[in-house]
Amino acid sequence: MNQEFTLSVFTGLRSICRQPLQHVFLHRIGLGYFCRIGVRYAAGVPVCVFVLQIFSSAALAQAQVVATAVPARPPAIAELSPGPNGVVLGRSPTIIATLAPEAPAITPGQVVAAIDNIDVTAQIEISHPQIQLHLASALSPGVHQVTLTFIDPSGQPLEPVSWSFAVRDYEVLREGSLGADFTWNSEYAPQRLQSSDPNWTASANFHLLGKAVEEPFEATWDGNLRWIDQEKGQLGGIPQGEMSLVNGLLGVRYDKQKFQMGDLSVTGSSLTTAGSFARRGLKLMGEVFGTQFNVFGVRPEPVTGFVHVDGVNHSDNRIEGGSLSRAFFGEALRLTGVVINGKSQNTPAFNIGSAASGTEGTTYGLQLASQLFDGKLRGEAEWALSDADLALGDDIGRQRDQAWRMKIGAMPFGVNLGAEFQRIGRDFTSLANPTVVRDRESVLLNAGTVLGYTGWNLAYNWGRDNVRNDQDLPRVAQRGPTANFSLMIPGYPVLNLTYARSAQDSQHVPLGVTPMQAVTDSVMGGISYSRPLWNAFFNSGFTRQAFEKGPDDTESANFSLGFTLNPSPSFNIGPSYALNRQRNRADGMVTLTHVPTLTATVALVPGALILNSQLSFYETRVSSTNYTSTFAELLRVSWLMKDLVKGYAEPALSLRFNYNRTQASPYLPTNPQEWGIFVVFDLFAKFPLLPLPWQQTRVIPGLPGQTGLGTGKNLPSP
Amino acid sequence: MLNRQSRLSIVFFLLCLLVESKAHALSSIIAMPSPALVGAPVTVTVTNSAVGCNATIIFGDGTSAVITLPPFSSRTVTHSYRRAGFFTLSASGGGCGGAPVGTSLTVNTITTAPFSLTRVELRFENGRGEITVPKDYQGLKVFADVLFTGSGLLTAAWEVDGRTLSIIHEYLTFGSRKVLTTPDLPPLPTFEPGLHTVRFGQIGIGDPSLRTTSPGPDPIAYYYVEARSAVPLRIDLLSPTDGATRPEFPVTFRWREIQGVASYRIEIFAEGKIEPIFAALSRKPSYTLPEIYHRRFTAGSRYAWQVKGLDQKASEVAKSEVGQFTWQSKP
Repeated sequence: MNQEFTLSVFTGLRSICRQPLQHVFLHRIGLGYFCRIGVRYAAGVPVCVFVLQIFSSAALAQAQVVATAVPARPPAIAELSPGPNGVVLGRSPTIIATLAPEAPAITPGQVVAAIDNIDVTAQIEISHPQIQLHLASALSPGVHQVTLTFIDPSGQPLEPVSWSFAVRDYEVLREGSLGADFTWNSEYAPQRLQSSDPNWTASANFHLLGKAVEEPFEATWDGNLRWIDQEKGQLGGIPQGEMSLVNGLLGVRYDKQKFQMGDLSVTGSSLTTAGSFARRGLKLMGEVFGTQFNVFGVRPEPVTGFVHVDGVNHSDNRIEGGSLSRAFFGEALRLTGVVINGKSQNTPAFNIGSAASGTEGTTYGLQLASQLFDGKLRGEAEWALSDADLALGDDIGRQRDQAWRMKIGAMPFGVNLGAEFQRIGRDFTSLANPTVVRDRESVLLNAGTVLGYTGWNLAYNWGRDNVRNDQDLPRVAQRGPTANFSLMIPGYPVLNLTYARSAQDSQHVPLGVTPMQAVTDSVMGGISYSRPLWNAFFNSGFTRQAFEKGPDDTESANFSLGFTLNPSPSFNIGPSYALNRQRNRADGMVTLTHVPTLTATVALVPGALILNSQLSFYETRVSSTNYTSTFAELLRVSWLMKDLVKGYAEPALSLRFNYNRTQASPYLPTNPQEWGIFVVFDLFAKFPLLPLPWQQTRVIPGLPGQTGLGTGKNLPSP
Repeated sequence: MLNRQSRLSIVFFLLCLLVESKAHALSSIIAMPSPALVGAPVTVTVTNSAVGCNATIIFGDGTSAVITLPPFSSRTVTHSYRRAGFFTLSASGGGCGGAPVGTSLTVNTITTAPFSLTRVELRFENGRGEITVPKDYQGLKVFADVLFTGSGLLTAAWEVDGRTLSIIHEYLTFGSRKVLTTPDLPPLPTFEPGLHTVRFGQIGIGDPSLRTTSPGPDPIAYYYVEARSAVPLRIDLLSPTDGATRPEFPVTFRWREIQGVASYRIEIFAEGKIEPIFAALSRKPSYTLPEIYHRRFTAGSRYAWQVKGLDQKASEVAKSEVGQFTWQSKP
């Protein structure tokens, strides 16, 4: 049944098109009432169509009203350049929309333009019948969508005109770039800090960046070649006087298959690679029949230079492996299998990421991961088996052992709950996970939530070693809770409070080994406040460690505060101060450590003369007569000469002053003071090794194989 | 008088007598490291101060090894203990003659051993012990991946080019693994182009019983600072002023002009959101928001805005801080 209503109550509707409507006649269609209640014209063009929908006719006051203004058609457009699905060479195309002769003249304010949903109205030029857009900054290679939205005289948008075109660098290559960032750094010391220091040092760095893309093919290169030398002395193993490949990564992708060579990361599973393992080597990854595969070979320890350019040229120092991973039922279940095999023959075990010297073996890992209810319930389970010789030089040989890990996380009612169990066998090893702690069982339970502006976290951890409960070995267990509270009110300082306890005890301790029975309690608090031009923090903590047997009991209190101020681009200062009070509770000896520092940058002449400074003072005082202190100061004034060379390079001439002073009581016999003056010259230059494609543009007909270009579809009005 | 040749003959004869008197003697046996860890290799070095012979090393855990010692030499073998405790090692035997030599060794597990660092790896955010960063790069951090034995207070220093950056006082427990990081303030300096070294220096402070020991030299990481600047120029926002309760109509955003910027990109964010709800490009240091976009904003809601400066290649060369304003509907 059709009904008639008075629309004077529908202010929302009237505000849309500002048309004073008094009456409307509704037609019942399905569950609701609909009508076309009016059309408004401007210059003969329909600019606004009113539609009303009422779902309930029983009570007008409770009726749900949906009123939409259907935009009217925009002025006719005769030509678009680049046209829909067009291709343009160069990254700075001029985009032109030419209105049809019958279209009314458009003035600024009657059209808004957007590229990829970014408003560019401020950059359009209107010269009837053309609307031109030439962006001041280049467009990236790829498909871009232009949207023109005309505005009617009453300020209402008409139906937007939208089309897409593609930007390419070359006809044969969608994107191609190759360039070098060159840095030269040299310094001469008229006054050296120490007589053994070199009089001069110099280095040159070529940062090479390259990219070539033509879907489905992509190749990238990012690496640093470096030459470094100095008058005398050694730079701690760094090659001197020769060009060296410090780091680099070559990547080649074809569709979903990707090959990498250089300094890369290998990702297997938590037990086999500890997440990811960054080394130099080769890697091939891809997807076949929905299964992701990963094959790699890497050097066990980090390396630089050209000698180990591929990382796999030495069979005694190589880790090879692979993984297969497949998801089932979306990401409800993911199964991953990993195999790692290799040998780490002659690598030191300290300060490098490799396994201990002389490790050889194979590790197998199987991981199940599951995510349900949009990730609100997550689970992981992993089992790994290793068959490895931990020390090739000993008389034990290969040992087989296992590791397990299970983890579950859920988020019911806004509470983040987690539980993790891990058991690592005594002889378990993985060459790609050198930091694994063996012979350990542990459980971690945690719960966290956010209530208003507060955050709460509770955790409890338990762990023990000697997982086989070997009676010839002691067994130590550790347990303790951790509680954290944070207060984060927007616009106010952030407060953090943490308490943690670790209690250890040991069983069946053999003769000659000190039992472990210790309790460590820590209380920490911090407050920080960050503003656009400054920020400040204050942290404090107190820890007490008590042993029943063995080492002396100690306690330590830390205080640190810092402040950074950046009121203008020309001034930046950041003082900090840290104090530690350490007490041996057995003899009452107290050690105080103070570390004040100051970092500052001041543009004496903005863009031309810059002052940098970093000062640090460090004092340890055991008593009033027993102390050690060092003071180190660096002051550098740089003259930036970019304008002198008209921006073609960025040379800088600097004068640096270093001053170090050491004081000690009792008297320190060595030279307590040293100072040096250095004249430093730096240069930065950028070299394009391919012609800059964005400097010239040319519209060309559509190239074959251009899939995925825009279809000229209409976008929602802004 | 004896001539030179005769004198040399006599000296040689006396030396032979001396050697013969010391023949058939092992001089020492040394086990390293001491104390040792269960499962870790222990190098046992036996020194022979006599003619060549075979010797038997008894490790004290029920195992032994036979070695051949050339004359006046040392020979090292590696052994791993499978149980903890106090062990007596000895070397003796056969052709060597003389009295056996011995030493003792305590073998611990990593939880009962004295507090000590067994392995430290320094790495940057790229996972390696070296990184190349542009000048004035902010947020550069070094991570120390520490494996340790026992429980105790670690006192160590972060040093950059020989200057102390900060001191670490950290209690480590239960012979495990810990990742330590350089502080936010003071930051690792990146204002100087060239090569820089970061050292994780273990220091003895005050009471020697609190000192930690390391198995080798202090670990070092390297970073190289390029001469190009990473920090974009700063754009000062002018209006609406930070925290303004309502923009004036027409809604115009203004900021201070920066040389070398081809176009400015203004981004507006809903409170607490990372992705902008609106973005625009402008050549001028101002932007007037067309009225048709007003419906994207809700009266009474707070918004953040930021301006970035782009060069001709669309690289970001300047950036403002984040300003805030509250949207108010047009009256």
